[in-house]
Amino acid sequence: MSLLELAGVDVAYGDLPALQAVDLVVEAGETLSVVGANGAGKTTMLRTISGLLRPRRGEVRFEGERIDRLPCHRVVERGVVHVPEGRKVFPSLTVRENLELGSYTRAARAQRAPSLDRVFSLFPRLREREAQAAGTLSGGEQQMLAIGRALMTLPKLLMLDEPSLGLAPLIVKEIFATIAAINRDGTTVLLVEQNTRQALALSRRGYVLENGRVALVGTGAELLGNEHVKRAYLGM
Amino acid sequence: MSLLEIDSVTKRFGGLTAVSRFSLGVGAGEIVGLIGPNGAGKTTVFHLLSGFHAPTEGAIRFKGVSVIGAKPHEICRRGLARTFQIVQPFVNLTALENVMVGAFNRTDDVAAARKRALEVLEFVGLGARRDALARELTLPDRKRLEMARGLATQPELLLLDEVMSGLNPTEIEAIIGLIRRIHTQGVSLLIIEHVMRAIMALSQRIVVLHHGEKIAEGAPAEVARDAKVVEAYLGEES
Repeated sequence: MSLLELAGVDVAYGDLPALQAVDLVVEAGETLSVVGANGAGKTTMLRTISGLLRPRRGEVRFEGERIDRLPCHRVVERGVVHVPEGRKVFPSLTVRENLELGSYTRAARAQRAPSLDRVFSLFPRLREREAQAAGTLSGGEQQMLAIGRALMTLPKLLMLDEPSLGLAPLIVKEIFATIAAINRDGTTVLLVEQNTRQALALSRRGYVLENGRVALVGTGAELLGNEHVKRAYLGM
Repeated sequence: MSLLEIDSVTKRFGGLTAVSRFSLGVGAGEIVGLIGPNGAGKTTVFHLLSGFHAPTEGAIRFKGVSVIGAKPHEICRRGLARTFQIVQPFVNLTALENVMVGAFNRTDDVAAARKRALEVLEFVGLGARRDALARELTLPDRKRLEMARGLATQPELLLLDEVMSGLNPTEIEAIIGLIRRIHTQGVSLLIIEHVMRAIMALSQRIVVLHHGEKIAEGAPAEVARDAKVVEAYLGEES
């Protein structure tokens, strides 16, 4: 049984189809990336898995059970967490308060102290800024906080929407290295990125979405070497 | 005389020094890249140049005339336009109407503004999307629209703030081509960008800001080798 399965998923905004007959499988323990042009449906896919959008057709299964009719907070309880594009930290709350809001489910709350320790050891910068309002952090620090807040939910599947957006090269390297470390610790990662090269290099497998459909599936290395991917997404 | 002269400018917000004794000249016909870590003060420099903030100390001259105290629309009319990192279109206006707003910087005549806007939309590759509402455009198209709105004001110097963020490498190549075409039309450019491949390819000169201070300036290849820049911004080759 795979950790997450999308089977024949259609999603539409009004009359406008956003995902069509999407089949996707995430295996426990892997890092999987979904790449594609802007508007291909990548964010829509994450929002559907999170329960923010409902599929018109098809099923989303997590650990073998359907989650596509559950409200978002129940999806989080099952172990699926979504770090949205643009970070969306609570700017007037402190770093610590933002993190504590991540551990809101009963199971996560019981583990709040060890989870905080884990987040602070992954992101020492957040410990230094523990009492600071999140809105005063730099873009890179806010991204660290958004990932940290997600880890506080004790996820089995961590979904990241463009974690490198707007960040300086050095910070992008740090964030990608941390994602690899989180995965090594046993959390499965589903990564959506425009930074196609680094995302595929980090991933065991990748999917290419085009106009709401899965156009290609392969290992990260296969996709990096694929002529169509090179032309359409790597600018080569 | 440079087109733009920034002379030892400091900007403090309360106790925070966002930009510290920063000097930079941009010559007519030049493309200059402005890079640095998140929070280094790059966008603050754009705010100072375009009249959104006044510097605490120092001088800024465009075509030899101080811009300090001038309103953003006045600075724009003198030929200095900017774009925004988070694109700021009028979401419920069409692409054409959005660009006409820029064109009204130079004319009160609706027909003339419309004509200018149509030319600019063609130029940036949005001709076919002219009647689409801004909110219906994809992100790469909204980035083009943002640049079109700036171009419609007929700038001599265009400030671009991260017009490539959120785009994939192939979409970035297309924007690099567009920036080259803008430059060919005689527009000088000051560009903030984290996409190194793009900034290295486009810029004749690169300036690096860190904690509000200039830590390096030079040709792209020199700057990329500079130890301070590697440590603060680029990181070791991985």
